[in-house]
Amino acid sequence: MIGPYSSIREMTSALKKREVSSVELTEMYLKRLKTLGHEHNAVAELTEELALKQAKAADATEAKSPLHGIPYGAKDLYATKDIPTRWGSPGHADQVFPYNATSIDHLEAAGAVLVAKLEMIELAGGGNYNVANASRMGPCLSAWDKKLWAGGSSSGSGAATALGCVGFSLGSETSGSIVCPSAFNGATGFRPTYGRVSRHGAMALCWTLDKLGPICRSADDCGLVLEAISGYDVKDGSSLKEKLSLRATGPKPKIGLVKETFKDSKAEVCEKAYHGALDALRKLGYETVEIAYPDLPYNAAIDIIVGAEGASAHENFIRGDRFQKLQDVNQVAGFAAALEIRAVDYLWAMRIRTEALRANEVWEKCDCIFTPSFYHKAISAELPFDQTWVNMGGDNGPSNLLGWPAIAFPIGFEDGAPIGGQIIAPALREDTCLRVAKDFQRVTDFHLKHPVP
Amino acid sequence: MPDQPTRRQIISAAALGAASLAVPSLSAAQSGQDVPLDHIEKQLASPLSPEAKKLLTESLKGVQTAASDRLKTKLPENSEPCFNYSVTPVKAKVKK
Repeated sequence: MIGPYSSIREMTSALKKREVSSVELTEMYLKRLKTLGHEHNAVAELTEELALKQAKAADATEAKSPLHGIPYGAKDLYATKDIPTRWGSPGHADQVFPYNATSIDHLEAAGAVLVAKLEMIELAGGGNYNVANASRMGPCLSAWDKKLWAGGSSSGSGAATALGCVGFSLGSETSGSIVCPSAFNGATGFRPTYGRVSRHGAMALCWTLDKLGPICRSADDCGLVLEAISGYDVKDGSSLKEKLSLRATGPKPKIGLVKETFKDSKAEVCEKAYHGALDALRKLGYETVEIAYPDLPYNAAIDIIVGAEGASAHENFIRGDRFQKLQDVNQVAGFAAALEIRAVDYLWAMRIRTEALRANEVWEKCDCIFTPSFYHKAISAELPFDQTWVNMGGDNGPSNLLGWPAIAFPIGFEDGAPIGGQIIAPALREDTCLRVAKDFQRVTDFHLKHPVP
Repeated sequence: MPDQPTRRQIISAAALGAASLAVPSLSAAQSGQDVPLDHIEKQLASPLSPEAKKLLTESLKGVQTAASDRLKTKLPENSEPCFNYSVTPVKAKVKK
């Protein structure tokens, strides 16, 4: 029986057997987007007309891929031809591009059906936002509890996917924007290696750190979507020519555990869930080993790089007359100040990035790393983050700075809201991330639990 | 991570959102001069609201600490930033 939480493979199988049509799936998701999606402020723009056209075409043709006829939503930073792409920003309310982002083209070629643009933190939060309300449609609310924030900046992608409003979604991450909404909504999100997915047509916040990837309801779904959107693109000079292969074989990867995890923390529920997840993985035959990263200011470097590149990417807007339309005044202050970053500071950060390559030494001891996504469930959607983001932990290592892939997935619950963990792997080893996450989801059911609307 | 982090620490250490921050004029901050609000404001199309000015001041104060902390991490002499300029060959108009 196909329903809103069905997996991609289940929907594909039902479509092939003509048990359901793509039009029916599309209508089901559109209905949920119009109710649940809007209630959670997760929808930036419904693309109903296009969706029904694509669904009818999918029903009338042979399946081109596992995504053929599957409805999806895209974070509103992906350019979509002749459909508004507002980057979550009130200052970009009338922005429409005459072309598609490469990922959107790939999904169209695969036969997938675009049902909605999904809401996001304005300009992907590049100006140091401090409230969940830093978004054109208001605070995006967690799929599990409307008092909680859905996370950012791929807020709508995380919430809509977990709410069963789309078959799958696309998000993006500069430093946490796939992992955070996946954790806060109990979704499974895949941040690929930097360059694995073309950035062409996606809003730039930070050219050297931005990654595009799927947010789905399972690791298996993430793999199917990543296969469809990855690949070299002549329109993105940073895209990789190495072909993606997700078929991992050989001995089970050895899992590294970061020495500092939970040090001095008060996160009993998450700690228990994390160790429960580790037990499940050990029962599956995975060995673990303690690791430590070289002591370098990874986050300080990311801060400067994102600040400088973000100010440059959005300089026209910052200097323009719509700048102060941004929803969160913290973003106004942040972007304005970033205009003043010195070249010498940026280059210091980029030299730190070279030094950070030493962190690749951890891969001599292990094949992947398992960390909690955060130490707690989602924070309040109403209070400023500087009052609520307390002892949240997270991955403070070099993974984003070095463009390593990570897959984030639910590992438990705290007071009825999901908490997550993530598997990080060396560059180009998405197969390792996927293998471990799929194995974990084969023997656990956290990813199969859904919010009751 | 301290129990009450600044917004900067939230965004960077906790990897919220697409993480970024404003790192304003370090030269002014480092030299202990007044925050260069006017200089920043002149670059904008319209004056900042009083609240934005206040937040900008806060952000600049935070940068003062970040700027001095940055200098504690010594880089090796002759190290390079993590990017390389690649030349783009073009077809020669005349055969060599």
